[in-house]
Amino acid sequence: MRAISLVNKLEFEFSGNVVRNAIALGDLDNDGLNELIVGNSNGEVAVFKGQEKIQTISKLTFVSCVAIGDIMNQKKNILIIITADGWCHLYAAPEVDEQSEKSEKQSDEIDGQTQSTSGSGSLENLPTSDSSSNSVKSNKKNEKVPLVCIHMQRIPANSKSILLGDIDGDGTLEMVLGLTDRVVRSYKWVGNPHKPTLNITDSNVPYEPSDKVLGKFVALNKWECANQIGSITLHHSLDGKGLLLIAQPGGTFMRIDCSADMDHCSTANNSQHSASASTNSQEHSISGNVDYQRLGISRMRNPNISTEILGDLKCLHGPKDENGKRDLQQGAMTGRPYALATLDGTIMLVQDEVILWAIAVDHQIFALTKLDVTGNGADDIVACSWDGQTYILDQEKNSVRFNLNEAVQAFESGYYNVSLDKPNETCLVYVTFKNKIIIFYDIPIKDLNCKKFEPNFDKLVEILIRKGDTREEAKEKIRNMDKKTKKELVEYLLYYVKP
Amino acid sequence: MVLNFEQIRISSGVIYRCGKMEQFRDAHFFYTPSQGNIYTIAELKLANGCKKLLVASLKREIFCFEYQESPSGTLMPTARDISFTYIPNAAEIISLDAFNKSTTSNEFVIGITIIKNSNDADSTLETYLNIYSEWEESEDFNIENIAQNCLTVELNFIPYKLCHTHLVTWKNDQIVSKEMVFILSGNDNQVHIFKESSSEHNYRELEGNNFFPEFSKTPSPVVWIDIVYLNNFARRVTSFVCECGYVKLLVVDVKCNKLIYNFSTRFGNYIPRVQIYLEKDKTDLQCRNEFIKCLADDKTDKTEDEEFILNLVVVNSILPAVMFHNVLKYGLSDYTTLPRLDNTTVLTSCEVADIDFDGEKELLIGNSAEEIMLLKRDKLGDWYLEEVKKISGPILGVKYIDMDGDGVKDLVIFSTKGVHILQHDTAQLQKTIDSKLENLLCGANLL
Repeated sequence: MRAISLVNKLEFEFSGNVVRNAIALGDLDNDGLNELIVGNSNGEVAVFKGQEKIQTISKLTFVSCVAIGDIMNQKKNILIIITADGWCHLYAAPEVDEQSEKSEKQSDEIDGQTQSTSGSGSLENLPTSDSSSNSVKSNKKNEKVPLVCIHMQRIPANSKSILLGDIDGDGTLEMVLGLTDRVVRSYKWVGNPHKPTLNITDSNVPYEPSDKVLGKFVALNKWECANQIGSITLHHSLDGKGLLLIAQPGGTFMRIDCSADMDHCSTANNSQHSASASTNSQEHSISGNVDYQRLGISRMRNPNISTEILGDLKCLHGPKDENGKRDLQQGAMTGRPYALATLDGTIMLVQDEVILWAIAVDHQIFALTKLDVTGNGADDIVACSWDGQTYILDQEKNSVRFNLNEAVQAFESGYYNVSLDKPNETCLVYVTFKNKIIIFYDIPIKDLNCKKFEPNFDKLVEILIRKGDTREEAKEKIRNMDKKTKKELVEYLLYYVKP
Repeated sequence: MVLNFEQIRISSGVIYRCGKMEQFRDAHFFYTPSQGNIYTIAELKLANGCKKLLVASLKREIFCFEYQESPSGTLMPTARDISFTYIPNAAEIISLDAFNKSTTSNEFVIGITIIKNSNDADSTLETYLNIYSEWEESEDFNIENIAQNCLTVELNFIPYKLCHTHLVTWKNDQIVSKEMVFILSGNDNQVHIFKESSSEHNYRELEGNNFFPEFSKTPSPVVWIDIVYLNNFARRVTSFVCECGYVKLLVVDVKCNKLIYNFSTRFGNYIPRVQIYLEKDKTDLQCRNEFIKCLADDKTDKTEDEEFILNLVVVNSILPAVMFHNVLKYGLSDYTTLPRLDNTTVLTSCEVADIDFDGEKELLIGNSAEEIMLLKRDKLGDWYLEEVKKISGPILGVKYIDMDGDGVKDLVIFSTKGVHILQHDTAQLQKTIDSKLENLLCGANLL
């Protein structure tokens, strides 16, 4: 297998145990640049941006999951921290930009107005006269404390995996948690109708984040699995139906069709009573078609081996189907593929419950992520093993290997912003057992395949014509050129002809 | 947080240019379990034009790297651990070299020098030169067979650089014999020549300095040797460097085995590498390939009569590298000091090659700061630092050779971590070929 070495890397110190899902890449402060969030078992969550650690959120309990997403459905990314003992914390970046500009350029009065218009919640209590100095102060603070806690909520304990996704197809994000006791729960954020927008300017705001000022998570569904949960992923079938795939040991998975209660939700949402919608769906929570997929594979599988699953791989229909029109039609008819990986080192690509291909590696795969490494528009599968071997596979089974040469406790791939003047770059993030986070950025793979150089000598035709050949003869000659002649010609042109 | 290297560089005001080295794509990388040294990489050039790499690491592992082509046209890199016989468990590999005895088929000879460590304090170090070869020449190349057939020469010195060259004997203006010999330098301040004696089927050291008069009187162990034959083996240009920094360049008349010129200079510190190179390579491709023949005819400028210009690069470990221009004419008097990036790195290796296809050779220097420095000549002939490429390990060796047999050379970088293969970007190559053909066409127009 082809292997590469990676040069561009960043290293951060971060101590403590990091579990598999306590790592996330995303744009926390909504500036278009991605940050890295890592939480540990000591209750610390570190936020890394660019070349430095910009914040440590501490005094939490065992962080089991972190995720970044627009869970409040306000077009604003929010950090969700789930602790193993059953606390859900939401952190958001204060909107510094508008506020600070206003406070600097405009008068107190206007600033006061913006404050008062900002919401009818407890923020209103702030004295108007103090607001300008307050927000200036907060600006200074905000440089140090980019994220503030906006919400805390008690949820059932023992979450081990998190998924943010629109599982019921209503256009808003839901949160799905997988628990260590084989239960999957889904939640929906229901905003406080009296304070629908979020506008936090100061971490000193005198309100308790736990008092549900902004709203709360409402439980939608609960499903029980037969076995331990590996990972949870959202997959869309051909007709756009959202399916929850829950990995089960032995390379199997449970499939939940959540769109059954979609109708209820959407109608309820249309009437703009989201609170009642949630209660509605709670009533109908015996929802969905649940089935188990075993993926008939000839190889005997150990039923106890843990499994990772990853849905909704973007694929290239165009170039892949160049071979024939029949392919194109088929391509249009088939759904997106999804990937499975088991701890015994099998990585599979599955489409419509048919295994397209499977490879076996002799390393224990524990993390499965997707990333368009080559930038060709199709997602590649990035799988990492406990000992640091990382496999990057495209959907045609071409592969590239990278070895960290160090044991890994958590792994993530995605996009990270290394310097402000550059766009987000592809990256692989490793949390090692030596209190280090290593980010390899700008993964230099443009093509997973390595091929010999196949020259195109079209321009040679003209020269041969000048030598007295007819066009047909010249073309024929070039076509019939054998490998050795071709090679020599390439060598001659490249190294012995002046430009 | 640990500052990464790039940051330090940017803050120190060095501007990173990108371009020439950007066209190299990471093709493959393989680890060596323990690190090698500047002497432990050798290329095997097969009769069919394929190349393989032989890489050894300190703790006895020797890897043979090659590219195989799958039916679908994908290149599959394979690095196999070859177990060479007669390398004892406690031994460490110092240097490695290989050559093909035959010009038409595969008859490889691989030399490996080892040092046998013993834990006893009073026992002396045992050193050996193991020479592996196939029993008979054959069409197929089988490295496993070669690895099993060993001739051992016990050495009474610590071996250094192992290389090979032709030993040519002239008589009445005729070449009487031409055969490959191993050249091995040692800590006894001497350079030893090992020649196969076909009658006894073993390798013997040639006595005295009768065959290579240039290697007499070296002040300290020889670190690196580079030998070039000119004028159809009538002249030999040898350059070598001793541990104390003493660089010598000698021209030998092979016909009468006499020194013609002898230049020397002394650098105060360790020189890991000297390299003689021709400013313009000559090729005989025109004669063999009909397409090239008709292309070559098109060329209006007949620069064939141009004289050989030999340059010598001296890579200095802690000081800037030095380039001696046209050493046949000026000896070591016309020199320029090459720019370097900073003074805290150790320069280890170099390669001289035209990597951007502009007809001018560039200089690639590898260093201990995990960088390859690309030096180019401007129009006035001055060398400048064009670009720096980061590699993921301190560099021991750089080679620019065609690994996959497609006519395009690949950059092979041997670092303390392993071997990195970088390939040219194919789109860029096609562009170059198109533009060159276009130019040739325009040249023909003028006629």
